[in-house]
Amino acid sequence: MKRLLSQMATFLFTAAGPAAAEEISLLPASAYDRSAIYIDLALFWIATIVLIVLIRLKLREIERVQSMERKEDGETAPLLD
Amino acid sequence: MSFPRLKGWVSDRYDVADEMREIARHKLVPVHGREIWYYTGGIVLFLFVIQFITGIALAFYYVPYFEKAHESVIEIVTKLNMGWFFRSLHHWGAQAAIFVMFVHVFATLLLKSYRKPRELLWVSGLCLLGISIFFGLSGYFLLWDERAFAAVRVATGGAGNLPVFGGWIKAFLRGGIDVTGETLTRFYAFHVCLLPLLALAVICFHLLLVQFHGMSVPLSQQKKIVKQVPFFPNILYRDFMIWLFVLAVVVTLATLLPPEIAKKADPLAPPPEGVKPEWYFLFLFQTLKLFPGTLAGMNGETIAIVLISLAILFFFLLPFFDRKSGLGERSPLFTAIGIAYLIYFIVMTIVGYVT
Repeated sequence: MKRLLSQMATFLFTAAGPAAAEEISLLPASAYDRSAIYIDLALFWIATIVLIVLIRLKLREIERVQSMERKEDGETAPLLD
Repeated sequence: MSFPRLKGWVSDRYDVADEMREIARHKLVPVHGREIWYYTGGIVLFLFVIQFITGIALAFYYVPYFEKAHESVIEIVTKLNMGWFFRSLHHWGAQAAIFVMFVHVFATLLLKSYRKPRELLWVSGLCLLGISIFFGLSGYFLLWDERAFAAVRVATGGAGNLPVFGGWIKAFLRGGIDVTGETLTRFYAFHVCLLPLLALAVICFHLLLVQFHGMSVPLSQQKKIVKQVPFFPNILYRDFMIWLFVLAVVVTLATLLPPEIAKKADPLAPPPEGVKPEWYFLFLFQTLKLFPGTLAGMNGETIAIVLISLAILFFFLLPFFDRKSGLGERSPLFTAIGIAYLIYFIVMTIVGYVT
């Protein structure tokens, strides 16, 4: 029985060998590397959102200054009537 | 970190900073209800930059020889640090660029932004779409796997069905009678040399025309009071925000869905079952399927290719036919034609994907 089991295991192992070799791992194989990739992806999203918010704030400030400049120009502009 | 000495050195010799500042200050962009569609052009430009960077990185390690090509791609993916990521980013960047380019083309078509005097903008944009599609096909083939091999055999065979020049085009693309290692060498030359140069030239021409004509205002918005805002910094900052979001989406797709690599191509083996071209070729693939083998004693595929070519030519020359919108009048016929093209493209792509 033991012999039969070891033969079966050998058969399965050798049969699985070439099939496994054909399959190409498209991402790093180890679980540690994979989890690091997913954590990096989450950090990347957080950094992106923070950057977008900062640019949005900067843009709002620019638009506020531009509207103030327009108002000032309007007040000092000579009347044409 | 402002490098005052370097700035001084440059400004002593090339005093262009003031002129550049003046140009930036005077570049105004109209703001209206349909302006969101205009950002698609900037997204395509940004994705092209990603493609150039990742493409250069991949070219350092790719071996453009048919016996080594497939193995070199596997080595890039499995052995190089971040190789899988650069390849995946290049793949998804290409998919996104072509998708956004289609959106940009159909938005331009339906907003009639092609109307006089912007006809050449339309033509150069469509040339860029054609170049990008050929970029996609040639890049796909560099993988040298059985699916890419079958797809290129079908695509170049289809081009060969064009009357008069078909045979010549097919032989030029394949570098011989059939798809072989010679074809791989040619496609590599197209992908890394000829097409980037062409793309760069057409992008420069397209951007130059955008600068020259300025941004168009849709006919429906012209009667309303259109506000103008400076391109720098207002529009550029909005572009940055959108580009960051697009980058995050492409990076996510590249990380979660890395493109597969099929078995190495064998020129003597039959094509694998159920092989389909890339999504942007599906509408053509499905159209070819509609035609029988022979029609009125002629080759059905040749008739299909001629009809498709005529439809594409009409699409190219659309601004020259649509005189009404050039005069600032509404042209519902050309809106209907644009919608018909769009529906046909979407329906045939879905049918091609599902069947």
